[in-house]
Amino acid sequence: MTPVLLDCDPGHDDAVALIYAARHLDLRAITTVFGNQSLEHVTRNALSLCRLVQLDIPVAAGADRPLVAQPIHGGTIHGKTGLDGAELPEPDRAPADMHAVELILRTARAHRGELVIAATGALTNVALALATEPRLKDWLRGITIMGGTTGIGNVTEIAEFNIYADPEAADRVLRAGVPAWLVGLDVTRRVGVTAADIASLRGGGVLARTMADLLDFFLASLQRVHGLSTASLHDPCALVPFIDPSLIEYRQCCVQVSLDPGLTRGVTVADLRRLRNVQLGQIRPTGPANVHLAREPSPALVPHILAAIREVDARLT
Amino acid sequence: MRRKLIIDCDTGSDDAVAIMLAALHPQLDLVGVTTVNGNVPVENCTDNSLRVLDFIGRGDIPVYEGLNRPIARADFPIPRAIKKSTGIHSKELPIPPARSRKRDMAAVEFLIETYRAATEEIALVPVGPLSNIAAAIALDPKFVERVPEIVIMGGAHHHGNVTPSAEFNI
Repeated sequence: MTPVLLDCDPGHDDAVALIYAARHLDLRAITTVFGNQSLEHVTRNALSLCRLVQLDIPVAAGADRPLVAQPIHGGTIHGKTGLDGAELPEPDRAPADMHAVELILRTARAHRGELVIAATGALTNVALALATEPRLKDWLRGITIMGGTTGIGNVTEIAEFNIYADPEAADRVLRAGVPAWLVGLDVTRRVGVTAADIASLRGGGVLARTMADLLDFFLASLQRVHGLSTASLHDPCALVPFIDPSLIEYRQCCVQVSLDPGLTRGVTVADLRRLRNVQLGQIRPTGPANVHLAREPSPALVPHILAAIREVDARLT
Repeated sequence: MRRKLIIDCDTGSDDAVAIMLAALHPQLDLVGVTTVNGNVPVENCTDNSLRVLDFIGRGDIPVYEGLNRPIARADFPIPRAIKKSTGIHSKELPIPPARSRKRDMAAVEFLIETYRAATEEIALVPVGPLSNIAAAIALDPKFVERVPEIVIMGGAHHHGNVTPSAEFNI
């Protein structure tokens, strides 16, 4: 099984990602980053989720702010705690006595050439890890990210939250030369659970019922703010390339992050043209492909994620 | 009592003098040298620092390699070729090749762990771009409290050397 480190900001869909990873991958460690809520809240949430899922792996807190930009302030669709909507168990332990970056480096050293980082929040920790230890890029099998979009945004009209939260970090990660997979909001918006899907979890045990409560809250939030009719399971999509690549179609291309202030800040610019190797005035290729960019989710993906929740729920003692 | 210090540098000819002074001065105890991309690419900063320490018979002082480019920007703001043509810093210092090797640990981890474990005061003396120090502060919220004193070469009040008012390290 692929060893994975989940760098996240739970977050409702991060919680689903955690369970999806626990079911199908060798989840070695969790690191947290500011985003869906403050670092304090999301770290606590990660520890609560570990207790709920009976996962005995290290959790380390990371960046509480972006590399250089001002932190995003204001409301969140994830509620006051970052995981509103369900009664979660109190954490039964403290986070590891080290920064997320140290845990990333330690885990990567222990699994040289094999570790995959799945990043489902702002990319601050991953950027700092790559900066601190330039050899990290050679130790990783890949980085798979939920972030960006080729169309509709969720913070601004065209910018997605995780990239917008720290564009300089995202820029650093996408330029790092590590094999990268990127699933954007344009795809994850189409991977949504309906109210009926959520209700179907209510027949299960504690974990399945807790997830149903969380997803109900999340769906209500997304309906109220974004007018959506399903709850998008953004973050688990990032794990798909290492669980079952047939569930999302990816295409290699060049993706850059706009660092400009103003309308396009934090936007991922993907070169989806199929230019021949020619230059015609301003028509020219942008650069070599640096990511596998998600294009098309399979209809089998949502059932596969829901099944993982049921399976993990069933094996809990 | 000898004063402990760590030099964070981009060796670099004037950095070489700083290392020699710190390593040989009877009242100073150079705990380690960390390197950072700056005057020359970081690999060369590391190699040059090792050369200097070996040359003065202090190959026992550990050298740790740090960031190979600025934290946020992808480019390096100063075309180093210009510096090369001016001959201010040669990529390779004209002294014998190093016999010592850099340590395996990354500079930022060394800084964090050294200050975390320190029982005596260790002054921090950055004389290159501040990328390693900024990364250490980002990684360890207590780093700022643990460093008793930081002495920086950088910045300019009247006139700069990169632009009319900006100094290279900053």
